[in-house]
Amino acid sequence: MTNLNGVLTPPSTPSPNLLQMNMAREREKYLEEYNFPFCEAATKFEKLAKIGQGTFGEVFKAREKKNPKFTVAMKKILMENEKEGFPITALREIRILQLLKHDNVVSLLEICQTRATQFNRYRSTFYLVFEFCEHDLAGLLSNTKVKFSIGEIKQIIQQMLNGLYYIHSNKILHRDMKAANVLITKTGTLKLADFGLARAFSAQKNGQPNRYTNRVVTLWYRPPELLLGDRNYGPPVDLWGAGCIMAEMWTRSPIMQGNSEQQQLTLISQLCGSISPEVWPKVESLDLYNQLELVKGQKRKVKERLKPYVRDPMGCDLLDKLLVLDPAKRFDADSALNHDFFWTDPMPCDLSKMLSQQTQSNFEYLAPRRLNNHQSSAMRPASTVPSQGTSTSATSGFHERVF
Amino acid sequence: MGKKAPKMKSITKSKTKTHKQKVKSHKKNKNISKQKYRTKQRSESQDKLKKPEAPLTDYLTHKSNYIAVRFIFECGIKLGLKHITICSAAVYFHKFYKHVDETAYDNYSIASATLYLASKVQDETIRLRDLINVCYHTLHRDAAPLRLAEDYWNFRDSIVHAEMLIMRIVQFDTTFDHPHHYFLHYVQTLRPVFYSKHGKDIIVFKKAYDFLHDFYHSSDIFQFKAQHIAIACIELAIKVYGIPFQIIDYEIKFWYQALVEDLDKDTLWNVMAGIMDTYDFELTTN
Repeated sequence: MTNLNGVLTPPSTPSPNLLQMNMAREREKYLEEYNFPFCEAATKFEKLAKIGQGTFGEVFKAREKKNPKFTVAMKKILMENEKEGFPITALREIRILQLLKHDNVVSLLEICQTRATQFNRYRSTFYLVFEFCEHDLAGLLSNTKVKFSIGEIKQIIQQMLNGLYYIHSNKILHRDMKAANVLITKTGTLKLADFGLARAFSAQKNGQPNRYTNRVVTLWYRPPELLLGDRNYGPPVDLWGAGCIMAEMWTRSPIMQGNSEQQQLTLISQLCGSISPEVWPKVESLDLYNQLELVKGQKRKVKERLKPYVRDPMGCDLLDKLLVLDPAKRFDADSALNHDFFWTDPMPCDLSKMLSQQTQSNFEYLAPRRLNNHQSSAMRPASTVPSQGTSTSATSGFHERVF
Repeated sequence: MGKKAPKMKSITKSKTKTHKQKVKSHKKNKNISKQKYRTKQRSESQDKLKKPEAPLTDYLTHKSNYIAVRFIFECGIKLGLKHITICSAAVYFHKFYKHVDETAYDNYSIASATLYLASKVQDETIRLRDLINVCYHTLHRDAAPLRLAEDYWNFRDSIVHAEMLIMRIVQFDTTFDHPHHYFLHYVQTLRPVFYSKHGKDIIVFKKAYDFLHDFYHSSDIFQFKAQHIAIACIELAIKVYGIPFQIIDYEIKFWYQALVEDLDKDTLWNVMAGIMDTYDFELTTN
C-alpha cells in the first residue's frame, strides 16, 4: 500500500504532474482492488425494501445472498463531512451498540461496506447490519386491526423498561425514545433501536455540571427539562419518553403532539400541571425557564385525562409516576419495573401468538391501513410525522409489516 | 478517570525524576516516558534536583512500533489530551499492527490517525489542523510550520484515509478495558494503609502509574486482564521502593487477593515480567 506510505515524511522534490497523475491512477486501482480482511462487502446482502428514512439516513431490509432466509436491516452511515473522517456520531453509535448486548436492545451483527469505485469517488459507504425486526411499535399502533390485550401491553412496557434499565445501568442514554424506535420481532421480543443520538453519561465531574446538548429527542417525546434548556440531564429523559409510549399503547397516537417547543411545553402543562418551583424545585435555574411562556394555574390531571383510555388503575398510576415534571421525582426504570402494574393480574403475557396472526392478516390490509392512517393524520401535524418507513416499493409480492 | 487527569499529567513527568534519585535499588526500571513534553513542566521542576534530560527522540531515524507509541504519547500530551485518550490511541495502534505487517504502512501516519480516532471516541475531538501541526513538528523538530498548501492537504487526506483503514482493520471495535479504572480504585483503597505509616505512598503510586503508561508501549498489554495489569503496576512499584512488610505481610495473604480474586502469584509475576520487558525495547533503540 503505497498511497499511505511515507505521507508524513517530508516531501521530496516536487513531482511532475504526469507522475502525480500516474500515482493517482495507481492509487485508485489499488483502492478498487483492495480486499479489507475484516470488512465484508455489502454485496453479500440483497436489498429488499427501504424500511426507514430519517435524519439518520436510510434503512433497508435485506437478505443474505448465500442464505436467503436470513434477513437483516441495513442502516447506511451518512458520510456528510468526509473531510473530517469517520463521522463521530456513527462512531458513538457503533461503540454503544457493541457495548450493549441484551435481549431488549437491537443487536448489531456486523458492519459492511461498498467497494470503492470511481462512481463513489473511491470512498466506500458503510452499512450497519442489524438483526431484522418485523414490526415497530408506531406501525403496530397505527394499525387499527392490531389489538393489544392488557397482558400484552404489560409485556411490551415491561420489555421496554427492561431495555432501559439495562442501557442505563451501562451508563448510556438513549435520547431518542419514541414509538418508531421501539422494534418488535414477530416472536414478540421488543428491541430498543436507533442509538444514533445515544451517548454515555456520567455523574458530574469535579462538581462541574455536564453540558450535553439539549437538542435531542423527538419533540413529542421530549421531556420538560430538555424543553427548558437543561444540559445536565440523565436517565429520566428516557423515562419520560417511556411514559409517552406507554400512554400511546392505549391512545394509539402520540399523546402530546406539539408543533414547537413552546407549544409542547403548553401541552405538557395541560396534562401534568403548571411548571413551578413548588412542584419542581430548582426549575427556575434552568436556562429557558424565564424565557419561555409557561402556563400558570394548570392542575395536574394525568390520571383524569388518561383514565378513559387506560381504564386499568394500576396502569394509570404507573403513567402518573412516569410523566412527572421534576426529573428527580420521575420513576427510574427499576422502580417502574417494581410497580404493581406488572405484578397484578392479568400478568404480562406472550405476544407471539397475537403477532403471528397479525402478520398474516396484514397482507391485504396494508394499503387500506395506509389510507386510514392518512385520514387520521388530521390528528398529527403532517409535516412532523415521525420517520416511519414507507415501504411503498412492493417487493416480491410480500408485504410484511415493516417500518 | 477524567477527574484525575489534570493531576496526573504531572505524574508522568518531572517529579518522578527527582524521586528517582532517592531510589537506591532497582535502578533497572527506567522510565520510558521521560523525555516527553519537557517545556511545560520545566518551570515547576527547576527548584528540584536537576538530572540531565534525555535527548528528544529523533523519530525519523529509528522506526519501530515502540517508538511510534512514544510518538503517540508525545503528540497526545502536546495536544493536551486526556491520558485515557492517548492510551486508547496506543491500543488502536497495537490492534492495527496485530493484523498488519509492520512495514506495510507508515508508522507515523497510522499513529497520528489513531490519535485522531481516539480523540473522537473519547469525546475530546481535536481539530485535524492542530493534530497535523503537532505531528509534523514532532517529526521535523526544526522545520518551519507547514504551509496551507498541497503537503498539508495530503497529510490531511492521508490521516483521514488511515483512520478509515484503521477502523476496518480493528473491525470497528474501539472498546478496550483500560486498567486505569481499576488502578484508581485500588490506589484509593490502598492509600489509607500506606499513608498512615509512610510518606512515601504518593511516590509509589506515581511510579506505578508510570509503569502503567509505559506498558502501553508494548502490545503485550492485550495479553493480560486489566485488573491484573493494574495490580502488577502497583506491586512492581512497591517492590522498587521496598515497602517494608510490616505493612504488607506476604506470609499471611497476598494483599492484592483482597482486591482481585482471580490473581495468583505466577500470573502476577508474568504480568510484571511483561511490564519490565517493555523496557528492553528502549535499550534496543538507544
